[in-house]
Amino acid sequence: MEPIHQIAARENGYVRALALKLAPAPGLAEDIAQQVFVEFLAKQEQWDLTRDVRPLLATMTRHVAKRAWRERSRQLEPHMQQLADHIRQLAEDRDFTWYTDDDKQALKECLKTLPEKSSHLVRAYYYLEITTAELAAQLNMTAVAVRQALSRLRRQLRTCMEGRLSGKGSL
Amino acid sequence: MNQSERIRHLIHGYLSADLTPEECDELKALLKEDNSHMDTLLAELRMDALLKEGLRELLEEDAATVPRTPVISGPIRFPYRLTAVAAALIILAAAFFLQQPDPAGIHGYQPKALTLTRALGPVMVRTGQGAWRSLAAGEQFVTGQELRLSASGGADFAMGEARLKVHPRGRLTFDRRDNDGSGRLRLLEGTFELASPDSGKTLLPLSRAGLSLTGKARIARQGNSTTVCLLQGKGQLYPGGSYSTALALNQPTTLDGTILPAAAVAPEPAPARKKKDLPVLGRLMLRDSSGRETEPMEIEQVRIHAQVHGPVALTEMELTFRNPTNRQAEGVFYYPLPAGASISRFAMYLSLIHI
Repeated sequence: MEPIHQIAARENGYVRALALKLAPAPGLAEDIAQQVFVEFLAKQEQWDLTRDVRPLLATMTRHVAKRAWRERSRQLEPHMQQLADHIRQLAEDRDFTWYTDDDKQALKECLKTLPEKSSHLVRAYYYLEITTAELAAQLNMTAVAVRQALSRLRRQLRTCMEGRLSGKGSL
Repeated sequence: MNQSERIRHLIHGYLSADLTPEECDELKALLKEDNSHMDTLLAELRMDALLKEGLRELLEEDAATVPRTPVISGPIRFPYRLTAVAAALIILAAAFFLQQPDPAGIHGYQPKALTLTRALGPVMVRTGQGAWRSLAAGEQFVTGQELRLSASGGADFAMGEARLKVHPRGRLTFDRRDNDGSGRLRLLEGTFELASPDSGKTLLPLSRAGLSLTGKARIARQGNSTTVCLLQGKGQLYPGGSYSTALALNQPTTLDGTILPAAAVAPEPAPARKKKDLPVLGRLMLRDSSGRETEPMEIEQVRIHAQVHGPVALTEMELTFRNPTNRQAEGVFYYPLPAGASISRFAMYLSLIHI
């Protein structure tokens, strides 16, 4: 029988992709997947690991995602909350896969090629989680300009990744 | 901006939760209009997660180039022996986060050469964008090099007739100066001691001001101002003219082009803290069968590793807990965060299994 931590590692992408569809907001999929696997491992004696565990993980993911989404929604302003719920309904019917290790490797190589200023902006926003409004104040720009700069950088990174992944499949 | 760019711009606004009500309506309408926009949104969410993970791994790989030094190891019973060390480390971590490196090189000393005379732990050096390497005692830096030094266990350097003592975890840079052949030393964070046979000699020019020091001082930079706090010995500040002012012990003085009166920036005296109020390193509180917290679990080993990236320090703490009983235990993990700090990652392992 396959050890449980190997099963967890193998199903990580499946759970994250499902979590993202059920709770389409930044950062939530990772939190949900972590909670699902903590529960999955903690109660390992209860599961029949000789059978396909995906239906079980899907049910657990739905429960955890529901809770996480409710908590996240509470923190949003009413107009953002309505939009988020609308997006959630649309997301549930879509086919979606999580990123692969090749995607991650390509992105890391692309990140290394960014100029210092762009690298600083990407790190500040995605790693340090400084909001666009805070970045705008620090950089003496408007929040819209910061958002545009980040969109541009994502596009650049995506193009770079696609170039590196050509032949291996792209994101 | 064409429609494809517009939709990505709005999606990015959704991801950063800063859309206006009108933009929310616009995005809703666009998503209804064309199903493929939803795929774009999901791909952007995935890209967002990928960027966060990719960046974290890159920074960790970078941090891993510095050898890890166990700060404390061996069996330690929590919290008594650890409390003082933990308090110091947490204060240090807070200092890392609060510290702003000085991009303009305002506080600096212009030595022609810097020699490592004594190392109390690994001293790492990085030249330009090269890899970190270990520095041997007696090794000297000369001009024309751009260096970044990290003394995780503390180190002594000689700078001509002056002596610079870097306390554990101190970080400094040595910038290249091509015009006059001298280098500029910048103290980024930590605590340093400067000693000179000539106590009247200005050792650290601070922009238009200067500092003469025989003893120990903490130098911190925040925003556009520099704060000097004399910890031991004597110090004089020169605001740029011919007069000087003596530094008072433990009273921070802030320089912002001109010297502010020390009293204006002197902190409120901190209330004496009881032993139980001291910050702790992190604790895993055991729970009994009724769910009530009972006692902290024993800490077997602590490893701390900090790496400074621009204005931010990535501080990684690895705590190993041991369950001394032969039964399964359940508990709650508490970790006190210093002001300005946040958690970027948390992982738990049971034996070697990552959960």
